[in-house]
Amino acid sequence: MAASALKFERVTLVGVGIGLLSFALPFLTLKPNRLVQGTSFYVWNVLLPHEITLLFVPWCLLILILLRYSKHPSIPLIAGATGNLAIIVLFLLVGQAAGRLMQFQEPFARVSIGFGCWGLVAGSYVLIINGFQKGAEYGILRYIAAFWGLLGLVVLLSTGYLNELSVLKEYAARKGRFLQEFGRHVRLSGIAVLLAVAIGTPLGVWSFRKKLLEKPIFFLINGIQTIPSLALFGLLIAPLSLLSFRFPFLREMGVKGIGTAPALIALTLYALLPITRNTFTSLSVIDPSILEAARGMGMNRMQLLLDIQLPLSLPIILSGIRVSMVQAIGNTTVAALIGAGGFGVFVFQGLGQAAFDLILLGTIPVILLAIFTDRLMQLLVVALTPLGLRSATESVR
Amino acid sequence: MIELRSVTKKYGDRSAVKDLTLRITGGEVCVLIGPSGCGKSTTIKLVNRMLEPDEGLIFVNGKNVAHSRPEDLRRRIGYVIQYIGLFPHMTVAENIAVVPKLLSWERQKIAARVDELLHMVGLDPGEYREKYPHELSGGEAQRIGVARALASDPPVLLMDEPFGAVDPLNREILQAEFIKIQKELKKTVLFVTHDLDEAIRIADRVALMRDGALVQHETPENILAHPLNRFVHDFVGTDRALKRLSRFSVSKAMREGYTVSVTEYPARVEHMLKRDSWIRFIWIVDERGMLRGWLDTRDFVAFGGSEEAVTELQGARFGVREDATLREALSRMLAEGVKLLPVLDRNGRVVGEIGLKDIEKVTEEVTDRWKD
Amino acid sequence: MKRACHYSIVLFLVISVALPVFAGGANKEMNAGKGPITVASKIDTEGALLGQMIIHMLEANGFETVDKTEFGPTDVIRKAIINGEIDMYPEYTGNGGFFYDNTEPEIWKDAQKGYETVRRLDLEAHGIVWLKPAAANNTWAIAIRMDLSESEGIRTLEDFARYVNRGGRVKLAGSEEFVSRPDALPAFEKAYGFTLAKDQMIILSGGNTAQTEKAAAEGTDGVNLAMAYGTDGALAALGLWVLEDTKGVQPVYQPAPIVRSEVMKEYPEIESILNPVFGSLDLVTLQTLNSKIAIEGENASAVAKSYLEGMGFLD
Repeated sequence: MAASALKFERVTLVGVGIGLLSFALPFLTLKPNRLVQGTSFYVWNVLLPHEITLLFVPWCLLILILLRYSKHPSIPLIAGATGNLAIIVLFLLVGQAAGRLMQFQEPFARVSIGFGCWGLVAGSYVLIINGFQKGAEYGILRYIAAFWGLLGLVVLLSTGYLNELSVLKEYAARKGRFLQEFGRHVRLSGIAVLLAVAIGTPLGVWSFRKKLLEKPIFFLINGIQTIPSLALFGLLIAPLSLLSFRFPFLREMGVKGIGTAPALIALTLYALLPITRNTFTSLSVIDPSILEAARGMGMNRMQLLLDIQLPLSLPIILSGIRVSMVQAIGNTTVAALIGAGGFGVFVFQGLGQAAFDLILLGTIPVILLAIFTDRLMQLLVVALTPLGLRSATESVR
Repeated sequence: MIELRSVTKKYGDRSAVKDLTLRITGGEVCVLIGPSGCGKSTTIKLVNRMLEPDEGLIFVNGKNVAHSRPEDLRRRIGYVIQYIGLFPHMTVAENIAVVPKLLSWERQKIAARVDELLHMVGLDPGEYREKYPHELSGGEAQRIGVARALASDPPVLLMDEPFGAVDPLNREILQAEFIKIQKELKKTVLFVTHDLDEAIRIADRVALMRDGALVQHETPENILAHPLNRFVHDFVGTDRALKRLSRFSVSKAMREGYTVSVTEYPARVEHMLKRDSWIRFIWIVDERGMLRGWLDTRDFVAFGGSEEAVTELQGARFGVREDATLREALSRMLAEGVKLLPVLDRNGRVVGEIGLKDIEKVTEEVTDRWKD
Repeated sequence: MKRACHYSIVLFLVISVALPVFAGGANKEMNAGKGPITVASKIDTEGALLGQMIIHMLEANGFETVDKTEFGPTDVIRKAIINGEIDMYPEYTGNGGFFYDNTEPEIWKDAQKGYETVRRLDLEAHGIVWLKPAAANNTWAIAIRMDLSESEGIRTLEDFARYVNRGGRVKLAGSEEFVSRPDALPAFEKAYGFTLAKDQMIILSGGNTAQTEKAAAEGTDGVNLAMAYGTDGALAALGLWVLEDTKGVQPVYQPAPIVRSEVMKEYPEIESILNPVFGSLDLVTLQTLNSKIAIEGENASAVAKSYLEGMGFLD
């Protein structure tokens, strides 16, 4: 009975499996300074017995749930909620343990998160995402159950409870810069996508309208994608420098060979493909009888485009924008190499200093930003889909 | 009215429509029919300039269609296509309101018109106004398509196989509704179909086309009775005499029958027989004139005038409505195994009778020059 | 028609948001104070430190500054100053050998000659002014594990050459560039008479001394030598000793602030503000300060400030 029931919740099983295995891996690492290898500490080295039990509790709950109630449709969501509990308990204890390890150390000693900790986070993440995806019927409850752990984590962070961790010490040393680069990163990727929408949507419409344009447009845009981002940045420096020398007003505006301008141009070019491609595709899958009826009723081309074609294409175009945004957030990380700022600054600093936690300070925000943007855009797509298109795909052949 | 004068439309070397001249009177339903590739769909698209002719002129209500902007022209012509093309992101009300909006009607006027049209096509406005196309059944969607085409009350309607994508049962219902609406509105309709039965049912005149040319353009009765050539003869099929019967209503061919009220039985019967001894069947009705049974006079004699001679109706429906077609009447006769049926009005009262011989009179009008 | 309005409003918003980002990158901020001066640096610890020192000094003397430290790698930052996008950054005298590769390599091995040459050339070619350098040679070096140094008594490259030729076990972690550039490892080998075989080296792509030093410190793959720069902050903390280059094989890399001549013309006092600071920095000082940032993870700005305050420069 247990075996067949477990078959239905394979993903939950995987999540729980990862979590349990992680207990055997190093929990935290203590380094005398940022650069050297540290010594690993396991769960039983740094936590008191009652704390270890506490850490186990969410996972035991999960095993129990799996064994007895696996068939109930609400199981993934409950598992996800429990995953959040696991995360909160985990970081509560991490804070405690980190504090303990740092107690008799020099101020420049560092405590880092070990593989075991990462594993527990990964296992919980699997459960949370699985719960979110499979909990569609539960409406708003799904969001609460899936993300209350995140809220708890934010609370922990803001009270400074986790400040003994190495990543946060890196942050503390660079708070101002961090916020500055945060702003730059968001502005850079956001504006690149906005520009890509402004350029890519008309391009998509033109390539749909004029068959002759389709091949060259997509050849170009696809070609751009194949250029590695750093190379593209580099290629743009020379012409932009030239331009900004010749035309002083550009320099006044801030367009120079280095920095924001080439980064923004390159990021916009990269963001073009998903948007243009999706605009084109969404127009071509509209049922031809809809277009025929619209024309036959006396709509002119502009009315056809604005009142019929674009509203019907909107969900797919928005999907393209979503992909573009997530991509742009990732690509912007490299922009730091040409002086445009963004979270990449910390990644490259960290690489240059061989300080892993500084690299983390750069990469974790990028990942979180990407995930957050992705979720937000998904919500937006659903919200902006015309009501008539929500359940059926009648307009798509 | 719609007029095409020597219109030609070519695709490369092939002429889809060749020197076509066709005149449709105002208020008339003209059904274009013919084998695949005969040019019927092309013809209809030339009228609202979805396609442009290579030669010839087209007039709608006296005006050359080439002299208006295509958009303006189309807003004054209703257009219904086979797959309807309802806009999925708009409600039913918004779909119907499209052309009025294009013509800048006021909101009140549009809302009133939407409700009016929904009534007309047999759908409850309160229920259907805010529905989305994906929530509609096939038949409902077709009705909305027709309503949408009629929204701006255009004088002319172009319909390109509008009921083709619907199942046979719904198709019949839609055809009946179309006839009903057309009786009221008297639009000039150009209707394309490949279904001969449909054409026969709804057309005032049928225009049979072949290879881009008009072959015969007459009423269905005439085409069925006197096919012009071999092609038409084969096209309309060997059962055309039968088909033709659906063009005639029972009331046209019926005669007066003999009725006797229940209360008057058997005295009245005797009286009638004394006067006209050749009377064979008598319909027995109640005080209101509703059919209660029938009497074979030979039985009357055999049973000595008792009530047993009368065959009572056991609640089953017998007889045929006066507004039914002769084809139905024949069908009923064959089903009941009789050669005579009482004719009833809307309320079920006997108003006459119709016999096989009466039907034969109509079928004999069909000539057969092309029999193989 | 309504839809067209909607779409054009969106378009308008897009463009009007995009423009400020360009404007936001502009340097010109209308203020009453002197400047603003854009101070940049390379993405390394010492660059950040020196850049922050410059910023603190300028601000203490009434200048408005724009902080673009940790801007990019050498070629990027070089382009930036030549194009006038940044106003100054700390550069190394020895790099003149790359910027002007038609010069005699021997020049760069002499601190004074190298400085004067690059000063002259940069002024002529790009209108860039070199200010007084610090007397700290942040040049390529080979660092050895402290335990090995003590057990075998290896303190100079000569000692090292003897050890190698004796057949001592060595493994060097270095970058591709270090190992193959004629003026790097091969120069050492030639001058001191030793050769390292392929299996005595581990080559890392990219020129990252932090990684090589880390490798030596941890003894990864048996590494006991690391490519290093003279003022690297990690050296003491990682237990590594820099082998002395008694024969002066390497070019001299002294850090100095370099400034665009237009800025110097407008504010000649910059020279007198910065010279004493750079004059006070020597190898050990830089190592210590770098180590505070690299090892102890302190903020470059804070480290720079406390040093300057300690030395009384910020009164």
